[in-house]
Amino acid sequence: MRTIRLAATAAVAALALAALAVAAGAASAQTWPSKPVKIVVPYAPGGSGDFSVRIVADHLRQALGQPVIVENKAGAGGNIGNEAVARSAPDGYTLLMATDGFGLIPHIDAKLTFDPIKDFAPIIQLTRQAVLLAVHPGTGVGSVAELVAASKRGGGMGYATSGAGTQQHLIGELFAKQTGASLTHIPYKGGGQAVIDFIGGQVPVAVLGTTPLMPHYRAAKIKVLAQSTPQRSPALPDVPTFAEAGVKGISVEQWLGIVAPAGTPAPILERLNAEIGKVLAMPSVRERYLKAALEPIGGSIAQFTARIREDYERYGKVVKDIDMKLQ
Amino acid sequence: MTELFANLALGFGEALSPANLAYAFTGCLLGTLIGVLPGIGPVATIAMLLPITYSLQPTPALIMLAGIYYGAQYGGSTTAILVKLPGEASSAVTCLDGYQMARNGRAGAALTIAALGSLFAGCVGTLLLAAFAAPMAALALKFGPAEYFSLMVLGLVGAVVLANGTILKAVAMVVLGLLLGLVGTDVNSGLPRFSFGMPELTDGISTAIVAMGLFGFAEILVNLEHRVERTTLGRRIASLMPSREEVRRAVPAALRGTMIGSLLGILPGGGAMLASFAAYGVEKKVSRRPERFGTGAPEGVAAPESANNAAAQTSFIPLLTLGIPPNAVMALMVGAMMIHSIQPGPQVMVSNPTLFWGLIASMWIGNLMLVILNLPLIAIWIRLLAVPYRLLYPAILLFICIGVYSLNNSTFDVYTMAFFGALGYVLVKLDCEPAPMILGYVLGPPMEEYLRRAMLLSHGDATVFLTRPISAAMLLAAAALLLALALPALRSRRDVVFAEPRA
Repeated sequence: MRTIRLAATAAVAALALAALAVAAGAASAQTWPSKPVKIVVPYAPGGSGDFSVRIVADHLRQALGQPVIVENKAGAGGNIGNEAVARSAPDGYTLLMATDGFGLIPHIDAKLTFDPIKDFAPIIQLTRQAVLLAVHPGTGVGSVAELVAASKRGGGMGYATSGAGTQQHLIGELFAKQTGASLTHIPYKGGGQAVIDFIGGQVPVAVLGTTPLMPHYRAAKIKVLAQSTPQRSPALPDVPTFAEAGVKGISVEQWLGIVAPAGTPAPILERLNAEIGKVLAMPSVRERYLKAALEPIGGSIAQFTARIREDYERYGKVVKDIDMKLQ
Repeated sequence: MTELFANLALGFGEALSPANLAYAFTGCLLGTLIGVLPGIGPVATIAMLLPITYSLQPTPALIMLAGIYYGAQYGGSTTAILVKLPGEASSAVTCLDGYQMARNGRAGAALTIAALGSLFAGCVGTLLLAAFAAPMAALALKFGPAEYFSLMVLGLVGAVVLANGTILKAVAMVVLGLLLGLVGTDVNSGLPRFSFGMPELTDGISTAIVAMGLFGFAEILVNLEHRVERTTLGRRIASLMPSREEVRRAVPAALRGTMIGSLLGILPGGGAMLASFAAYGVEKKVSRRPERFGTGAPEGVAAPESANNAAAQTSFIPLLTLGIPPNAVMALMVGAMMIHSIQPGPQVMVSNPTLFWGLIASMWIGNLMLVILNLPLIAIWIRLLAVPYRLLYPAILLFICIGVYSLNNSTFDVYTMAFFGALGYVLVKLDCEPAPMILGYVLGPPMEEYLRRAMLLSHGDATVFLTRPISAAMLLAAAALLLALALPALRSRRDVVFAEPRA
């Protein structure tokens, strides 16, 4: 009996507290921000995206006067977090770290539950990074031409990527098509796993992002044959672009940006763009980004919106060309 | 040799500074606490604490985070022994004999054995890390997809051979585990499998959820049905220390477990999760009276606990020497290092010697701190068992739910855990053991991934599993185990396995 009474009292107390919390939440102020702002990173903590956003969040807190929390919502290649923000209220309190996958996945994944173009309002592009074509020194290959020749000789070489349907996969397939190289796609669950096998010599070639490959490139343990950005990125001045290496049609930059759910009021978007732009211009922040082989970008909302749309159009054409689908 | 001592001196000088000692202690304390709280594992905690480490220097930050990691290993075994709740997915094996020891009134002895075994293993693991990091990393790199596949085949065959009860039930449980492991995304095509349209299932079901449901939740359901009176167990607080007999049996088990754990921990492709299962299985195989396992054998606690902690230490090797994180916790460490602008990679040892050696020295200190923390706490934990069950189980249930929720901030996970709890209850009723199922569940998906990858790399040539020496050796061992199963003489020995002695 006593326990029941105890439980009942506890329940009533809990209900009262809950009611209070709801009431407090409902008193949303007209001036933004009046409560903590949340940035959702749709990947597990510790990745380069996570790292980029946390630096921004830290400085943003000072500029906005409210806590800026980074929440990791990993899963389904980022789609769990993406969808969660697409469905959340466009009140400026929930933001999303978007990646260049936004332009690619709608063309590959027919079952996508959100629209990367229509469901989000772009704010600012944070970084830019190249996808690298690297080989293990054991292959004895020193350039793109040598790689193509070696692959034809050996009856096919495997190349590692961080997953089926990623930009890396796309670049690998494009590369094989343009150069006639004989390459087999070996997908992994994420860049970390791919790097393990690549460094160990299990897979001779890798098409991966800059971040996982950088330390090994700096230690001269691998050879990087080409980078996918239209110009050479500041972190890799000695590596030719695909265009310079004679492969046409591969111009991909992996980017990270911040977006908000569509319908977020324009003044909030402008304010965020201005503040984050200021953070990205700080020398200390730029230095930390560059050290991690990320090129800080910034820019206006219009520029970022154009970037997303341009990627969307371009990937649409490319995917149709090489007929790549998650089938 | 002298270089090693010089480096260690540098490391200890760094690690013994009052500030770093304080950070190590904080990390260990936090780690123990979250290890005890089921589900709120080191991954969630480190993720939460990452922003705080911004303001710290890199060495103290990593010392604290590392402390949380191996501290959680110690804490995880506490709840596994006391209430059959694996605080960490890797403590699931400790549940088997540890919990039985607690029910026999030997909870104090079990906790002590676990703590001391872990200390020994932690010290050995750290020594290996200090002295043999580079060659061990090179060994780890020799493991390609074919070798990992064969290793996992060996693990699965081991589960069946050593299973308790009928072979049919053991195989059925392993297969059930394999099937449940299929839920998720197919690596090669990127398409979700068995996700029934639910995006939460496209990444599969986390092992922690399965373990907590199958062991913790199911245990509560069974206990409520049987109305187990547990107050009697609490009264016998007298003997906190293990008896001489128990020590005699535990010591060689701890040694073997340490060896197995150290080796498996360096494999970046997922050796650490095998460590406790493998150590337990080996103990059973080499024991002269395997039927004692599952009824409260001290070896059954010493071996997996030592293996766990050794693997936790040696899993730093791929991180610190190659910059490759072998599991989620190490990935967070990479994140922490990046925040401090340290690029983890082959050159960390050279470019940041104070960091590297300071971290290693602080691991020893941390392990020692953990034992000093945990041993006196055992007396307090024992008293917890004296709490009447009707008050204890709601608290346990609450902790399970909070813990599961904290994994992904997802209520879906809590429902999934409840499902596995119900499944676990049904299994107990059908007299099937959940442990082979967990092993099948844990090993199945990577096994498939490695098989397909090995075939892709060899361009469809299946003989690659036999032409590569390490892989061939492991497949032969698996075949030998199967042969042992076929011999009728050994059929009588199959009475012990993942024994669940429910009458």
